[in-house]
Amino acid sequence: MRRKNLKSFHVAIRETERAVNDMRIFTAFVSSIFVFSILALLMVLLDLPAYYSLFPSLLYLIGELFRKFRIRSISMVERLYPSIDEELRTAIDNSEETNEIVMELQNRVVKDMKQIESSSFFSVSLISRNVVFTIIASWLVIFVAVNNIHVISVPKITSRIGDMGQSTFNEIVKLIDNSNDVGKKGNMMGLATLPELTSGAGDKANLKDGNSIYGEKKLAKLGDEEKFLKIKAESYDVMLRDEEKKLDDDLLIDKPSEFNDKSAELSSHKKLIVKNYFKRLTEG
Amino acid sequence: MKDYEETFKQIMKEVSKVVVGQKETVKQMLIALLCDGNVLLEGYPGLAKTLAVKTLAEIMDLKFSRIQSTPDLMPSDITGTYIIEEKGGKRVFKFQAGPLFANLVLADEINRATPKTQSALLEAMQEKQVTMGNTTFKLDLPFFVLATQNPIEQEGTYPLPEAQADRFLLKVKVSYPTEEEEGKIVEMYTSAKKSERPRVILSKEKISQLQYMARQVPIAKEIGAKAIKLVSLTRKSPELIEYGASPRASIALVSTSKAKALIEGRPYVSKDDIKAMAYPVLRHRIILNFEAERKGLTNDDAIKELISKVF
Repeated sequence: MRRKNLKSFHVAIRETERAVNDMRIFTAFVSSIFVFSILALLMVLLDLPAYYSLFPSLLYLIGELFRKFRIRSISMVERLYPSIDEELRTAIDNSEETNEIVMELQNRVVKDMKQIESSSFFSVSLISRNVVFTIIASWLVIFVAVNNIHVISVPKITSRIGDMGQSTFNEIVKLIDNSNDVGKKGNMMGLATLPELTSGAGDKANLKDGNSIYGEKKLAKLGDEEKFLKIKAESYDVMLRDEEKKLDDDLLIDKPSEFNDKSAELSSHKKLIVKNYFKRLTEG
Repeated sequence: MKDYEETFKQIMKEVSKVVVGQKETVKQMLIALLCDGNVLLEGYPGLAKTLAVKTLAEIMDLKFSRIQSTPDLMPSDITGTYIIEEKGGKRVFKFQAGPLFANLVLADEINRATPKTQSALLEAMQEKQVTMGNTTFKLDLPFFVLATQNPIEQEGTYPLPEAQADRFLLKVKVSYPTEEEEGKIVEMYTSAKKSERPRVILSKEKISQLQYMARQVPIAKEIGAKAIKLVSLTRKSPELIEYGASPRASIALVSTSKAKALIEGRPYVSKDDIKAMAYPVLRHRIILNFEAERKGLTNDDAIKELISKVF
């Protein structure tokens, strides 16, 4: 009799714990799906792949589960059912006792726990709100993706920032090299060259060897010499010559007599260049 | 549990045949009996303290005796003494048992007895035995001492030392009855109708069984920890209390809370039991400091403040 009583008490406790845990997992999943849909919408609007939202959603799910499972399932029951709070706690704390009074307490707890509703462990309003917002967000994701709507294009912004950074870097390198040349030719401004300012005494030997972080000096150096530069429009080939005339000659199209059907055809590489050129033109 | 609840309801019903009101006092006396403890009743004269104790003894079929404490009361007057008796032409010493040799002893106005006599009660209360010379006499169990004291007329009295007060499980304050209750008392004792006598409800064996059951009542770890925290807080509140309660108070608080739960037919101890029992358990075990007394605080006020800190 006593064993049966104890068994039914333990079964009741285990079932309640399982019900509470299921509810907690379900609530955490619903919240995470809601967070995922919102993040996916955000990703689409920012012209980023929607699957980027998976990782933060997973993190949210783990955090939510951790937060929820920090509280004991039985404590949740006690919080929601203050009327059985003390008797439940006492019965659990004294579950190993087998005297008459403890047995009666266990019976009472089993009886009271039958009245516990699983639905009381999750907020219907919260779940409904999350489901409704998830549906709305999903429809918005589809709509935004189909119509190719972007608030801002993050990839473009990042590439532009990258280009700007690269060009700024190049400008600085040029300026430094120029100032070095000026320094060599008397440094009329009386300014110290940048490598000397930025590098320690130990680095000076390396700089003399031409292994500075700005690359090989001979490649960047133009000095005071006048150069003529033109870019071939069809291929973006850069032509750098000492004389302007020579440059024009080089840019001239081949003689018509040399054209034949075969040579008139553009190579696939050049076709790609032309395609890119027009594409860039359309992008402004 | 229902049976126990029913038993205590019947006891209360029987007591109410003789004593009007004072339900809380009677309940606390029953709690002390279930915990095998002694009770110090404090109240003004004429509040049916003695009557309540006498009635309880009657209901429980216990041997009752009464000691009226006075300054000239000697220890041997309560413990008993050796008398010379002639037996077969020979004179022999015979032990004449005093009023302590009963199950329920009412020590009326205990603070009027001298410290020597008061301390004679100590052994009986604590060890349930009486020592006369070289001989120790075991007292008949169950043995309870219910002492009363008057909070007024303190001149010529010997207030119980703290160590002795600590031996009492509970200090129960007996309050005045309400007007309605007083009306019933007057009617009961002035009408021609003869008052009913209470029936015997419990026996010594049944009392022992109930005492055992009271110890079986389970308590949650958290609630037990709070009870201990409350008692230890009496030793850690120098802003209110100069001397706090001993661990004996922790034992008393938990055991009386268990007994209270049993009387109320509840198979577990609740926070409310601890809160309710904190007053009678702690009020005679703490000494307020000068600052608290200057502010006019009572021991009960200090306990109330400590309860609010723990619960």
